Amino acid sequence: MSKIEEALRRARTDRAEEEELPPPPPRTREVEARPRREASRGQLVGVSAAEQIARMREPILRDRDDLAARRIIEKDMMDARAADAFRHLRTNIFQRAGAKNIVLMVTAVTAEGGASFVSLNLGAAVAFDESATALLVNCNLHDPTLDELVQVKEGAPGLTDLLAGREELVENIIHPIGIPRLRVIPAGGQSPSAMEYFTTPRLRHLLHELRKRYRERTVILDAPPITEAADARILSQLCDYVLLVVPYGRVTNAQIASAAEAIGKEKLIGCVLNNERRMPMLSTRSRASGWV
Amino acid sequence: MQSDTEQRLRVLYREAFAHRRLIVASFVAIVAVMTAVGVSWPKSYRSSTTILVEGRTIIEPLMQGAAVRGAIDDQARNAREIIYGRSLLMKVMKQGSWLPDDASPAEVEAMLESLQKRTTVSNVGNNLIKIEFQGNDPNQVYETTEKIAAAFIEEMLASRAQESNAAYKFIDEQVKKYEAELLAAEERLKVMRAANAEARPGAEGDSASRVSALRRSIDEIEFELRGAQVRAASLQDQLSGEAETAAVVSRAQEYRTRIGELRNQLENLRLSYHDTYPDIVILKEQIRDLEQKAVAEEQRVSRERREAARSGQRYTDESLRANPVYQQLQSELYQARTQIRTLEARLADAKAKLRDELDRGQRIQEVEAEFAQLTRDYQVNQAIYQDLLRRRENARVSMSLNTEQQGLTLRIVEPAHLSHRPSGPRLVHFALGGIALGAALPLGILFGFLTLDPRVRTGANITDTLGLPLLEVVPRLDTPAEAAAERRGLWVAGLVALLTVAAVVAVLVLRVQGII
Repeated sequence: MSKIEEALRRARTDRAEEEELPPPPPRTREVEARPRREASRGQLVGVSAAEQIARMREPILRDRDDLAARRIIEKDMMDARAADAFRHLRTNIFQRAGAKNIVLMVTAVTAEGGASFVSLNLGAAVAFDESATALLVNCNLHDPTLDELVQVKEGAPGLTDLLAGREELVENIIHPIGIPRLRVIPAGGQSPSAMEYFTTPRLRHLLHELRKRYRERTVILDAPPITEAADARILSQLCDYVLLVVPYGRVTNAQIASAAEAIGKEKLIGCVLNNERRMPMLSTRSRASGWV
Repeated sequence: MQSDTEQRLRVLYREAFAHRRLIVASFVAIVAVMTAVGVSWPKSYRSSTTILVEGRTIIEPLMQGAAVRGAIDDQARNAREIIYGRSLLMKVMKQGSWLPDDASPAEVEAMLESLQKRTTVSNVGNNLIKIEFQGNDPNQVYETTEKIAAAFIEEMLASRAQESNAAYKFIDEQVKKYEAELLAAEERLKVMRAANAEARPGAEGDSASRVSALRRSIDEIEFELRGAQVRAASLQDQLSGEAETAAVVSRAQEYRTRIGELRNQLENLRLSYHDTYPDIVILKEQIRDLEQKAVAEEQRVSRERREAARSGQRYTDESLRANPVYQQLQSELYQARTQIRTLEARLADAKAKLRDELDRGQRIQEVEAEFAQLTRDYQVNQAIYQDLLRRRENARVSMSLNTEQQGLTLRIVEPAHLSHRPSGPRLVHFALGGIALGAALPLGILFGFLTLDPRVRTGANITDTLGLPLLEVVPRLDTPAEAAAERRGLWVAGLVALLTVAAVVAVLVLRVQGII
């Protein structure tokens, strides 16, 4: 655990050192209609955010069957309950955060808790809006769910490649996945010490840059379970908000409470009860009330 | 907010759907087992008979108060004891050839116990006794029920008759005992009467009146006696006074008086005659004679007086005794004295009689107390004896009522019937029960499991229990293949359940047709 503690400490000192970096957007910041002039390199100057997004190059789009087989929601699904749920989730998050341009970490209470599923579909729901885009970052180095979506050949460069310095350009690690306005940064070439990269200031820089790239972009980090992996704790320090995924019927109150405690009250934006069993022949949805 | 129960039911519904395979499998298994048990369940036949223990008979009002009948409640309670009793069941067992003749005592005992278990006695109404018997062979069940009823009635009547007989016998003995006592008391009274003849009823009153009469007569006698004594005393006094005065009127006086008369005659004659006239001469002589006599008399009296004075005796002149007054007084005195003596004798007699009478009164009182006690004993004995006599008559009537079988009416209201349909749980019950149990048991177990399982299944749990914000509940998103498989699975599960029910129905139909 000394390694984890060291990583946490280093992350904290890095943040202190880089005070000159622009702070994360305040929760109540209004979304700007136009990009700022002093936009950094790589950005098209004088082009509106919507235009930028509209110009995003999309390779071959995935067809409906493919999406369904991969459990990805789309706008006009036959069974709209899941899509509706993610729309609601998206709206709730934006309401609570007060902005779209945020770095949101999605972590589950336990392994196989559905963090990847939630982050992917939350990204898809964000991307439903034609003026918005979402970037999924696979920070769960052991879970290849997001990586598999990348349509290029095997071994596409990813997060670890950039952090390890094997890849220089951020553009090279952002890949389209056949869903409009949704991009993915895969885990990349994994190494046993991959976790160590999270502690480097490069990750902080990367996240800052990713958020800056598009005003209407929501960066979603798919993280391993917070109580089981130190990675998630480091990431939770770097992100703006954390969404806790509670798998239906698999965890106890105590587990949820300990996960919420690990995240901390400031960062925890809320919980999602995932994978609720369906109620055939009953159309009404069970929805949490009092929190919307 | 959904209520807790509603949430639980929703979770149950979801989980039941998720575990439908297990639930359907349990359903099929339970239904199959229950149906199999139902098919192989031994058939049990039941036959019953109802016996009315008649509360009132026609004869009852006629015999009101005269005959005593046992209470109906007791009979109903006793019925159970009698029917479960060894003797009755042994009789039934022997008649019904339940056992071979050479059965061992252990076998007999076991069979007896089995019969007891199969027999049920219950009180249906106030005075209705229902006897029920069950077994595997309908004919045997029917016959045994009939036999038990018959044996029960016989036993009841016999015991009733025996009871009345015993009661009669007892009362009869008592009657005889009291009869003897009564005779003894009578005898004692007779002896007593003979010994104390005077001590008749009322003798005491007689005695008292006699005593008072005697007292009264004593008083009278004493009064008369005192009168007589006073009279005698006064007569005596009078007699003494007469003697004093009579002394003056003595004979000498008479002589002087005569002399005076003769002198007057002489004077008269001298006027007309000479002294020599014979008559005058006679007269003169007479006067002289008389004077001599007078002097002599006077001398004698004075002499006698002196003598009397000397001897201290009262002097009674002889001449006095010739005095009629004196004589009368004397005679009255005698009468008075006689009366006194008579009265004294009577008084003494009356006093003696009074004493006797008082003694007798005392004796009578003593005897009377003893007499009263004897009489009381006699009366008490007599009252008991009378009562017992009446009771004995009642008992005799009761006894003859029971002998004529009029005292206790036992009537079979509902005779035993030959049952063609087995009683107890039948196949249809098992089948229906199996279906109900098959549906309820897995769901119940699942519900219990869900109640105990601490894992989170509701959004409310996160918000209410943990106090964390819940942004959304995301339903399960199936791939098309999974959705298809699920639909298929649902169909298969429904079909399997339907087929199971159909199979049960088929088994029931076969059972009804008698094939299995």
